[in-house]
Amino acid sequence: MTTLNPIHADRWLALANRSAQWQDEEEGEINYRFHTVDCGELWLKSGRLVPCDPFVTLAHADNVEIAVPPGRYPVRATIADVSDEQDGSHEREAYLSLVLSDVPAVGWRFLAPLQPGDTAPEAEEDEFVGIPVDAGTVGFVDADAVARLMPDPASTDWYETLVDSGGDDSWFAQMDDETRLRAGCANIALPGASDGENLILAHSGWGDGIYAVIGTYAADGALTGVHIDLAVVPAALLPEWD
Amino acid sequence: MATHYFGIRHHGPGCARALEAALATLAPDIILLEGPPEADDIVALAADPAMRPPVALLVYPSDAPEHGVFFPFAEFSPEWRAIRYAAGQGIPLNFMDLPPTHGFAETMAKASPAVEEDAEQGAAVPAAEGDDQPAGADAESSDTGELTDEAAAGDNMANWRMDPIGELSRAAGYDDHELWWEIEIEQRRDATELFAAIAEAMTALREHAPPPDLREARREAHMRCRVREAQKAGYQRIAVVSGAWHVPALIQPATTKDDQALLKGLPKTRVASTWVPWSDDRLAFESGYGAGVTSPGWYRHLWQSPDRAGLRWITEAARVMREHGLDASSASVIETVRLADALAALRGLPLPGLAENREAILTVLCHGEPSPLALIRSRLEIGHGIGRVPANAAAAPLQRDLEAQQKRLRLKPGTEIKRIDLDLREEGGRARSRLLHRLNILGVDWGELQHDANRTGTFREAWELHWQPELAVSLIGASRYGNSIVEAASNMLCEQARQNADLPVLTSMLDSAVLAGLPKAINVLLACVQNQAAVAADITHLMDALPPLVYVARYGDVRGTAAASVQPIVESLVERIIVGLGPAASGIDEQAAEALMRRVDDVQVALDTLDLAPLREDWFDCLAQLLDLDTAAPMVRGGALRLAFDRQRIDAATLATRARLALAPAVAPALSTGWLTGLLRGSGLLLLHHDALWRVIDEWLFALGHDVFMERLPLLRRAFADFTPAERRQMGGKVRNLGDASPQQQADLSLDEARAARVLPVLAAILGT
Repeated sequence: MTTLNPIHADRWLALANRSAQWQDEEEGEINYRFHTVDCGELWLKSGRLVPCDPFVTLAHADNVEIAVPPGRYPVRATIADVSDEQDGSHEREAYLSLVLSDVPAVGWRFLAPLQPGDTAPEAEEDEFVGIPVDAGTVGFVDADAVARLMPDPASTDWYETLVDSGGDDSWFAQMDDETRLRAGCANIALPGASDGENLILAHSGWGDGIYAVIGTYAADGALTGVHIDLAVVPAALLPEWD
Repeated sequence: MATHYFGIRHHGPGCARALEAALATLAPDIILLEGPPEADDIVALAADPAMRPPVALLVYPSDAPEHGVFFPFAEFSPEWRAIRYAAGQGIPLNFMDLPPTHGFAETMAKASPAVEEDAEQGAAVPAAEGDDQPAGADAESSDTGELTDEAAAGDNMANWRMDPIGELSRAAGYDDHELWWEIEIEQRRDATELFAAIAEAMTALREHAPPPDLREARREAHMRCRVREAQKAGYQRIAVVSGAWHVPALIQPATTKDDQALLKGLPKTRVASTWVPWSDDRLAFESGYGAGVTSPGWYRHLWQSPDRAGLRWITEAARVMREHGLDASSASVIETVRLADALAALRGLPLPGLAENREAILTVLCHGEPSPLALIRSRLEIGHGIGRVPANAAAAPLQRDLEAQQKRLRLKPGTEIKRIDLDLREEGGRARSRLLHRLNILGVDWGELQHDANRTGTFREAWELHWQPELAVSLIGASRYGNSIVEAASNMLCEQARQNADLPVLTSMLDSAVLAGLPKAINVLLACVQNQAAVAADITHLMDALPPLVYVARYGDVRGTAAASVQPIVESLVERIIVGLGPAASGIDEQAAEALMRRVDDVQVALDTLDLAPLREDWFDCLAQLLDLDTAAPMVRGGALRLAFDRQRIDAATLATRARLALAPAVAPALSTGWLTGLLRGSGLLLLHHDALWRVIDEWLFALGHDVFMERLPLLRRAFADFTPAERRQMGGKVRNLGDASPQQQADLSLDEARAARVLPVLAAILGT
């Protein structure tokens, strides 16, 4: 296990509800205001958390996953107001976070989302195993629930029947529905869910890319949260990487 | 002693870099640069740290600034690098091109035939040194080349010239005229022997090119003369920087005598020069130095970030897209860079150029959509920057004054069209409004007042601002009126007022003067208006003059102008209009009547605006007299009736009675149609709401014979043409129902008190009372 990186208040803004400033080499001073959006609870019955692009990389089995204690956990999106006027006219999702506990975090490290049986490659301290995003969306879901509840892709096209079915309950429609969570975030029940098994989605910041999955830790070493860092806040998370 | 020739391409960043390196190696003791010698005195200002390109040298005839020529410089222009080098090293830099004064003198002579006549009569012509010019030279333009777009275009039509860079591209097998130069010169990192190679290529080209026309020959002769002068003055290492095409001609042996013969007897005029700020988008224009830079932003980028130019460029493009709320993720940036590199490799280029980067950006970042690409083109490839010129540049005082006011009022000039709303109740809003109005008076159209139908408040103004560097010329042209904007605008109005005897023009100038807050001009204009109003005989002039004057009287105070002095003039004008209206309305045809009615309307609106009851009473008396004036055009009589009725001077019964009289069968249809047109002008509401009038018209229409009806139809249609679609629809409904509207049905419309009372509790609940 790699060493824990300290949390810098101006570099780590997941779950922040405040303004933050920093200097950018190209753009000068950046000033964003952050707020969080409650996306409901994710039922992680198996504790096998899948961080993914739900429209492109989510599969029936063998998804990359991260182990967390089984349970129902709140999911929150951290939204950055990136407009010059700071009037909410232009917002981007900065993080999607699974909140495991409210104990204050003292450090963070990259988590390696891997397929079962894989081992993490050797990585320098500023390298990470990311999740690829190709449809501008990230999500959290339980690996076991996907395998159990999603229809067999060999006989049922997920995209045609679930994602973009054209109905009001299609995943796309739910993503665009601003009356539920907000446009761009959705808490979607898996097909045939009997126990509230669900999938929580959010747009991925500026769009596609490879995004890091980060774990935050309490002083006693317990995992307090799993966060997809959507690279809206500069990726140089440590001053020494600048 | 050695003379070194550096053939460059205007505004080429690669050339600029190579030239800078070459100058550093050579360490010349003088630089001769292709450019206007009239600017020699002000070139040193380029060293001022406050000077920020893009800037331009403006050379103009003192008597006719509008003929001025700009020589723009970008940060990446080789000429600018040469100027900065000379300034940095403290060595002299002289411009060596044919002085623009000769071209100006010819243009001005052509522009004013009177002067030419004088010349033929032997009168003094400014600085026309001798008339022994070859006869054939008259047809030639002696402009110093590429002066203005028109001049350049004209020259190109008249004299075919070789496109040297295009020829080289073709010889190397490129379709694109620019690509070869772009790859071999501008993107070249190792510039050793570059200038020798350019000179050799140009020499080979010129051997097969047609000989230069007279203008070109004179320019090159002049350049050679300046080189000889420098050699004679004893300079040891002379650097001659000119357009690549000229290098062979400058090197070639030519005798002093031949050159001087070419240059003898050229006309001259008094010329001034100054530095003016230039803008990125204007660099793309062809002016002064011939080569228009189509993508100045890209060239500046190449100049500023030669390392990893493509990567930085695409990152910038992503930033522009993000600023505009578009998706542009880091993954897309990486993909775009890779695609651009791959395209360059496919095309055998050492590095991706603008074309490769643009195609990759379109494909990946823009997802094939042209509109974000257009955004990148405008924001990045061209840019909207405006240069800065130090305060001590010998610019016109007006320019300085404007800059000071722009700073004070926080109105930054920009080349993007920007809309601003001004609140005239605030001092800041008033000051900005005054400045923009003053500039408009001076013909410096930086702002355009917007007429927004939705916002008619008198304390608001909306302006669209769009700064263009050429406005500097308008400012210089206006300089003869004064040294500050307020003074110049005031003097300009006063001078025009004294020359202009036309009353409506005077009052509209008065209106501008009030808007621009020019008390001195207001006084002069008021005096002129008063004089003119006293002697003006034409009632249409009086009527046209009234509305602006009333505006001044009514709203002058919003802008802090004393309006009291205007009122007596308004009163005298109205009195004279009242006296003259009857005769003016008599014995005129329909067209004249229509024009008169428009003016009558304007006067009515003006008087409605003005809170002067006695004057308005007089006016209505005048209208009432018109109603019974048999000689008055029917349209005017109908129109006057409408005005009186709309303002409750007569009641509906009188209206119907008068309509019956005017539309009586005894009245000739031509007269009654005219009357009706006058009555119905503009709005059909009158008809919709007054059944009695409707019936009178209905009966009259029925009584018209078929032929008469057909004859009058066009006029009737015109009377109805201005009605809104909603009005016409309602009229259709009325035509259907009018016959049925028996008194019984009308009675049904009476209020059922008991039923209405049931709504009251609901209303009370809603209103919370």
